[in-house]
Amino acid sequence: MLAETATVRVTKNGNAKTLAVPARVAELATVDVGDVFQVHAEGNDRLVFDRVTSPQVSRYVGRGRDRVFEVGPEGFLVARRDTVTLRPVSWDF
Amino acid sequence: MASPARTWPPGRSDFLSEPDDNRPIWQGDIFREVPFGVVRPNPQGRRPLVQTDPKNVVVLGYPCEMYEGSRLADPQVVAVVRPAKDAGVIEDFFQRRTPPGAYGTCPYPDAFSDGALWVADFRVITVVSSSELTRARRAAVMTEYGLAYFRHRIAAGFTRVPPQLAIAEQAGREQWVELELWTSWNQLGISGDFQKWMETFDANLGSTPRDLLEGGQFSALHAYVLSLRSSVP
Repeated sequence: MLAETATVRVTKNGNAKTLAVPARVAELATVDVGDVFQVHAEGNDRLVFDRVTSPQVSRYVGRGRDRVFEVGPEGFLVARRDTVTLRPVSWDF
Repeated sequence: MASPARTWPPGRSDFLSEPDDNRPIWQGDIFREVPFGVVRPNPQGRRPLVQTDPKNVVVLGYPCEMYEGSRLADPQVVAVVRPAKDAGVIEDFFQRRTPPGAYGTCPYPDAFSDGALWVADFRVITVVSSSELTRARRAAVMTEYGLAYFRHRIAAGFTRVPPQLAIAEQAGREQWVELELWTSWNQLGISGDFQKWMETFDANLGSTPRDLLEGGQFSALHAYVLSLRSSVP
């Protein structure tokens, strides 16, 4: 868990908008140049960044039918609160 | 590697494409009006009621398990595909940019080219005879990105621990190339059994095609299959 928070100002970068991660926060989160994140908005006031793992933490192992794709724990998302309440399934779906 | 949808919200063409009869039936294919068996309680007696109504379905099985060699195995596992509003999924699901919810479903934009949002509902699953999954009933197939998203959603639906989309794409790359090769094989009218060829040592390749596929030699395999065209009478 990060122990520090910082204010981040948004700047314009062509058609994109840039958020500069303060060095101390980047250090605590081990964010480095070239790292890739998926980002999505939650509501109007929250951005969530999920690290996209580098290929090194996922690889194929085995051969033929025994071949499987191994993914490290960083390669998975943890589901958040479900924002959609599905209708219950009835027999007349 | 398939690129993520360039725009968000994704449109139909990001996830789905028109079926080509040369493309083998594959995980994620959507079919219209397939007899869908349901065994439900019978309020009048002890024997349950068996219902078989036509439903739109999506094939759930992983390709390795869908096929015995090059033959579509029997039966096939499918989930019902229904209008999103019937499942309780909001029409602006993708527009909200917060798509992690509705875990029991995989939303499809415009699945039947009707402008509506549809969903595969993982809560309603059955097995059907593979003979019912005809090419004439196949309404749509998935793009590489769509298939990665579909698998991501299957994992979310049953485990709540889905892989990152990029990981789902990476994991599916080999299998996607195999699908492309098989489709080319059919398009070119190459005689012989594709899956048998994949497992057989080929002196021109110096190994089995499967070994090359697992070694990531995708371009070489594509080129080699194209070269086989000359062997077609």
